[in-house]
Amino acid sequence: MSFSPQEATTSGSEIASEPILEAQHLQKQFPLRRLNPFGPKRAVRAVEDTSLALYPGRAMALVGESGSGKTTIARMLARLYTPTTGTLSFQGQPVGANLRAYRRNIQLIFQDPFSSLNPVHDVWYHLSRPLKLYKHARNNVEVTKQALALLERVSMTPGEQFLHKYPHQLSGGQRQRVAIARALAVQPRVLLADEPVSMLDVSIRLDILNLLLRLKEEEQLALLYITHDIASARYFAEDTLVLYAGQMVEGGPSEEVIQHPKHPYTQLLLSAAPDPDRLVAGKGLAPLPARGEIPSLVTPPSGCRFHPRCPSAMPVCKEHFPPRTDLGAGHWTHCFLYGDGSGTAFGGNGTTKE
Amino acid sequence: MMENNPGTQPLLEVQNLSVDYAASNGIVHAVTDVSFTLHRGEVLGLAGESGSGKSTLAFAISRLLRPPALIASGKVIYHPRLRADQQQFEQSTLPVNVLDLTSEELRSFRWNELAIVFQSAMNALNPVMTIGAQIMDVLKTHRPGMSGEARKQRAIELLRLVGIASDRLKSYPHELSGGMRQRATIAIALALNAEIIIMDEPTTALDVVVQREILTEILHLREQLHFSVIFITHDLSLLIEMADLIAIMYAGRIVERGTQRDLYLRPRHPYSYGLIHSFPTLHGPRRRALGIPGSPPDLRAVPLGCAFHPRCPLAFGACTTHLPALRPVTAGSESEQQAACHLYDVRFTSEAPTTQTIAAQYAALAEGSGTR
Repeated sequence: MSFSPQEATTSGSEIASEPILEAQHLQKQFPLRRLNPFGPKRAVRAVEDTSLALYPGRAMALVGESGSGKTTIARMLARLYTPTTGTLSFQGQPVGANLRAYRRNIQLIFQDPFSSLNPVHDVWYHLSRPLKLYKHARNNVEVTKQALALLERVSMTPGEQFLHKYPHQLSGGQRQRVAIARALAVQPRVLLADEPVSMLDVSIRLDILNLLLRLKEEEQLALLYITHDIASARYFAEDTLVLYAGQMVEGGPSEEVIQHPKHPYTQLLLSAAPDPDRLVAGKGLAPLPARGEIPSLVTPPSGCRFHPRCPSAMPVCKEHFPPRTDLGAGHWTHCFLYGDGSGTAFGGNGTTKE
Repeated sequence: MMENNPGTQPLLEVQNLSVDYAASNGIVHAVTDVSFTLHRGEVLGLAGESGSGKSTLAFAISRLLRPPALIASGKVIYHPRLRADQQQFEQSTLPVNVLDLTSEELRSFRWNELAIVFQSAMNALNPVMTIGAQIMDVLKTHRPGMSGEARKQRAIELLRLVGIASDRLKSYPHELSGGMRQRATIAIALALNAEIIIMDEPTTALDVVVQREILTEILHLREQLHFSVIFITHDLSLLIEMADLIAIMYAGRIVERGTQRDLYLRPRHPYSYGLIHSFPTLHGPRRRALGIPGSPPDLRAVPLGCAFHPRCPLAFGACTTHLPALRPVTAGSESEQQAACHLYDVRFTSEAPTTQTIAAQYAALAEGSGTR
């Protein structure tokens, strides 16, 4: 297997460092209850064969519709879910049984700050938990000192004003800042942000994204940014990975993927995204190339799961999942339309039905 | 794409409408002094953040508000037109004030003349009735003379109109995907050929691809059936693509309105500028954007003067004391663009700023925060 995820995200010469978190061939199936004990085993095949790597000081965006497996991947990376198959390695070491040691370095930020904070506890308590659990603070005086510093880092100043507020006294943006501060309290190296701004008001979304960008740059955090908004992926992340129904379809440097989408699904996603510039160009609403919806993941379409909706589907698309085709400059796709169809980097193991 | 002819007759005139919520800890002015006119066949977009009063406004127009909300003042004038095909809400074309309708009149006004599509289709549809039964229910209530067979035919026709196969008539809401459910609620809204359809964030819960399909469908249906749409959303970038006119709300007031083109290319109110530039773009240079600093005001304690002044990079003395009124931004020009901002008031500012000035101020703000 010559495939290495580093190739997937390298966009030239700027990355010198090694990946901090590397996932290889992750797969996740959620078994379903069998009503007939003699019937076939059934499972939701949520994620198929995903490999990715995160680098310090860089962000990777996972883009896809609901049901594409974005959140499942983030939860596997945080080891909230155990991958069905596949390996995770942190700083070159495989992730073992000591999950608390692992989570000291990997933290999640959830989508909904209205439910990720406990309504009966104040900000101080929320920040004190990770500080105490990971032994960054030994007593309450230290907790207060560090909590103030954390609030400062997420631009909630003066911190004293917020320390003893309860979640209902904070606005949505402030709540998400507290959630970010809580993740930072652990002193992680990797932040997994699962749609961190989609529940927030439009005008404060960029504020939160800019905060994460600043943390990424100043503290060399590795970021995974999950979103369904491909324009924000372009704004936020150096690399973009497009998922469809649990399969990786395209990836590479964000600018490359968004300006020159190759996979028909990426093209569909981009043509559906709101884009006021189309109005200025006088083109109006672009007709959508493909209709239909994300398929059931219990009985997914064979081969490339996009083939029932794909305007350029070929017979071969039903049979095999296309191998990876490298398009240069770190840009790659899984589609039979490109390359000679045999795959350049690795071949053979792409089918979804084993 | 769509030609809006401003010369057409008005359909709905909202005049100085104010809505309050009588909360135990004070009165919340959710909508204050809002006026606009909707013409036949027009798509009017209402944009704003949560708490800006856009949904309350829609509910007030359709008389769906319940206590503690109360309509403090204002009029909603509806101009009916005689329709040959079916029974009429009013047998005249005299304008009526929707806010004065009796419950009996309201019953025939709703759905015959004005229909609503709500945000969450799962909650709007009855989970224990089939889609077909829910469409036929509307027909049964409002068209008592219609035979059962005719109702069924109409239901099939409506489903086909919104792109659902007719065999789905017997499906329950949970058997449909999110997009299909929203299509079904649109079919119900279309059942009686309403003149106005209010859409309250109809696509917010949907994925981008499905959202785009439904929006295309709505615009397509409008061409066919000639209804008017009041489209409420927080996603201004959507409105710019589909609305004819856009009104932007902040803290219960309309702060700017104009055609989609004017608003996108030349936003005048600093809030509109900030809102438009809160969306990262797909093309062009990748620049650091700031959004709008601060957060929307608490409606129980709206800042004095212009409600936006604490967040505004161009605020000056008068903004903290005087409430700006909606006024044309360029005197004497053909553009109907209006903004509620002292920057365009000759009494306060000698020269109105250009979009570039607003951009520069926001950029300066971004610089300032970058050093922190």
